[in-house]
Amino acid sequence: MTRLSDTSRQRPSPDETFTIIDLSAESVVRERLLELGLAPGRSVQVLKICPFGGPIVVRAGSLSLALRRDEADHIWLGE
Amino acid sequence: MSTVALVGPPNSGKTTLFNWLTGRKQRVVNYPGSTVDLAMGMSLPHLAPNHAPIQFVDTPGTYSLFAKSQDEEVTSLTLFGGRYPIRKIAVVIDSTQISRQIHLVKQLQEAGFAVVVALTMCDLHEKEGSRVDSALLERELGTPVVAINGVLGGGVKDLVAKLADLPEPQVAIERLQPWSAEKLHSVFDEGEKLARRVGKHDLKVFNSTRGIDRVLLHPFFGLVFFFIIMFTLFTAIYWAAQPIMQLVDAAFALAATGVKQLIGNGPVSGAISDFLGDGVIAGVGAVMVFVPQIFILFFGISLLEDTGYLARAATLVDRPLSLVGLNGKAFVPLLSGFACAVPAIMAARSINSQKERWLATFIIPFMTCSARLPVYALLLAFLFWGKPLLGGICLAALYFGGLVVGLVASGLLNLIVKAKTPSFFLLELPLYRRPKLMVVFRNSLRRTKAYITKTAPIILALSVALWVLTNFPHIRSQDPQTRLEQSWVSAIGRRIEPVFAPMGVDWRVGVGLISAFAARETFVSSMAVLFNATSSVAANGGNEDSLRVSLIDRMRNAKMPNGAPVFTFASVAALLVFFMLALQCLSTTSVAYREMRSSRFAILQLVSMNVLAYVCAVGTYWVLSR
Ligand SMILES: Nc1nc2c(ncn2[C@@H]2O[C@H](COP(=O)(O)OP(=O)(O)O)[C@@H](O)[C@H]2O)c(=O)[nH]1
Repeated sequence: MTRLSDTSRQRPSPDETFTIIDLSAESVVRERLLELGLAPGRSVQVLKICPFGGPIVVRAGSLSLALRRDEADHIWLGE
Repeated sequence: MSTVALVGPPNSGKTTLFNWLTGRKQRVVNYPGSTVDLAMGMSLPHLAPNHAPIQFVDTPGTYSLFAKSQDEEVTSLTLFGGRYPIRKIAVVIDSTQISRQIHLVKQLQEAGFAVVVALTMCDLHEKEGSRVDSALLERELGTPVVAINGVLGGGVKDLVAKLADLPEPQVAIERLQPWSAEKLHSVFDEGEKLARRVGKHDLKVFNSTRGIDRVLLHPFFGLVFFFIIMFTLFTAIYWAAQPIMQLVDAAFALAATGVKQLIGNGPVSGAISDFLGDGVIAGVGAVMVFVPQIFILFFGISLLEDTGYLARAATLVDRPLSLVGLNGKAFVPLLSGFACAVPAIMAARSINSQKERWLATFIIPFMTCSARLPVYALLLAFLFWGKPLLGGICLAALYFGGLVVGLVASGLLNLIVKAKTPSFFLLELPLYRRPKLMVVFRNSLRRTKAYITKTAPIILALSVALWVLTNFPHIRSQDPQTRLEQSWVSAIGRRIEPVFAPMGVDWRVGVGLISAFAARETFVSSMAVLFNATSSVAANGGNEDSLRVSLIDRMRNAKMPNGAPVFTFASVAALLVFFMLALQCLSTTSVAYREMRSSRFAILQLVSMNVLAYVCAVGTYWVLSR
C-alpha cells in the first residue's frame, strides 16, 4: 500500500493502473474526492507529476484531476 | 412567475446553454452578501411560442448540493435560500461524464425539485459515430432528459417546452442532509452502470486531450510552453496595445483642443472651454486610453479559458504560488495586474476559494500597472538623463520590486488571515476545445464594458474635482500661474506640506501625489501644470515628448522657499519608491470594495499600502540624503 503522493518518486507510466484502497483525508476533502469519483475500489492512473513538489495529475475514468501533494497524501493505493 | 435554475458541475456547459436560452438580454445580480455573480435572463420568445416566457438563473458550477467552496455555497443559497421562487431545475450534465455527474440529479430530486436533465456535449458522441440513449436515461431517472447541442443550439426549444410542461413539485423543498459515504458510493456505482448503457464510455476526444497534456504538462516542455504563452499575452497587452492607446490618447487631445477653439477664449467662455477640455474630456480620456489594452487582456484570458488551457496553467504554477498562500488560479489575475488592477481584481473571481481570492485581490495593486509607466518614465528620465541603460535597469527593478513586495505581503498575510472555508486544491482539467472566437469576443466586450462603467464615473468625477480645485477661486484670472498659486488646491497643499516634507519634496509635489489618486498618470499632467511647463510647450505646438523635456527642465530649476532644489536624487528616488508601493487609484479601491463586498477590506488595503509606501519613501529619502 502506498500513498498517491509517493508515486512522485516511482514515476509510474500513465498506463499503470492503481486501485484506491482508502481515503484518510479530513471530512471535506474526503467528501469532495468521493463526489469526484475517487472512491475506494476505483482505479486511477497517474498522468503527470509536476516538478518541484507541484500537483499530481490523475485520471479516473473520464476525469482528469490535478491535486496537491497535501491531498495526495491521503489517497492510499494498491496495485 | 417561476424561476428555473440551471444547475450543474463546472464546465458542463451551463453558460453556453444559458446563452442559447436567453440570448443577450441578461443581467447580473449578486446574491446578497456574496461575492459571486448570478446571471438572470428571460427565455427568448421564439423558444416558447405557446408558453409564457420562463425566467432562468445561471448558478455557479457545483459538484454536489453539499457546498465546499464559496461559489458552491451561492448555488446552494440560490436554491434553498428562499430569495428566488425556484421549484424547477434544469440540471446540466455533460454526456461524456454521466457516471460522475448523475448523483447531482438524484440529489436535486431528493431535495424535492422538479428537474429536467439537459444533456450537453452530445455532439462529441455523434462525431465519433455513437449515440446517447437519452430515452433510456429518461426512463431510469424518471424525469425528462433533453439532448443539447451546445455548438449549434439543438434541443434548446425542446428543453423549454419540457420545462414549461413539467408540473410543479407537490412536496416542500428542503435542504438536503449530507449523504453518507455509503450512499454516495452506491449512487456512483449505479451511475456508472447506467452510463455504460446510455452511451459509449471511452470517447476518442479523451485520448487527444491526454496526448496534448503529455506535452503541455510536461515537466520541461510544459513550462516552456507556459512561458511562451504567458509572454505572448504580456507582450500583447503591453506592446501590441501601445499604438492603439497612443491613437486614443491623441484623439482625446485633439478633441480637447477642438472644443477649446470652438468655444473660444473670452473671460467666461474661456473658463467653460477649459472646464470641458481639461476637466471633462481629459477625464474621459484617462479612462479610454486603457480600453484597448484591457480589451486585449480580457480577450487573451477568455481565449485561454475557452480552450481549456487555463486549468493547465494553474496546475503548472500552483506550487510556487502555494508557498505564499495563493494557488495556481491566482497567476492570471496577478499577470493582469501588470496591465491594470481593475480587470485583474475582476479576473480574481475565478479563484474559488475565499482566502486565496482575498490574498490575491489584496496584492494585485502591487503589480506595476501601466498607469505607473508615464510616471516612471518622467522620474527615471530626470534621474538618468542620457543614460537609458541605467534607466532601463531601474525600471526593471521597479517592476520586480513591486512583485516581490506583493508576494512577501501575501506570505505574511497568509499567516494572519483565517480561512472561513477550508481551502484545498482539486482542479478538474477539462477537455481541450477549439475556442469559439465569437463567444470569446463577446465575452471580452462584456467585461471591457464592465471595466468602463466601473472606473469611468470615479475617474471623471475626480478629474472634474481636480480641475475645480486647481482653477478656483480665481477662475477669471488670465494668468494660469496665478490662478494655480492662489487656488484652493495650493491652499490645501501648503497646509499639508509637512506631510510631504520628510520625503524631501514641497507642496506642489504633494498636490501632484494627491491628484494621482484619480489615476496615477495624472501625476505627470498635474506636475506640468504645477511647475508651469505647459505654457512653454504649448507655444511651440508641443507633443508629449517635448512636454516631458520641458517639465524635466522646470524640475531641475524648481527651488524650495529656502533655495534648495526640490528634485534631488534622493527625493526622486523616494517618489519612485512611493509610486511602486502606493495604492493611488480610487477605481481600484472601489472595485476591490465591490468585488469583495467589504468596506473593511477596501479600507485596509488602501490604508496599509499607502502607509507602507509612505514609510518606505521617507526611509529612502532619509538614507539617500545622508
Ligand atoms: N462540443 C461542445 N462543447 C460545448 C457544449 N456546451 C458547451 N461547450 C463548451 O464547453 C466549455 C464549457 O462550457 P461553459 O458553458 O462555459 O460551461 P460552464 O462552466 O458549465 O458554464 C466551453 O468551451 C463551451 O464552448 C456542447 O454541447 N458541445
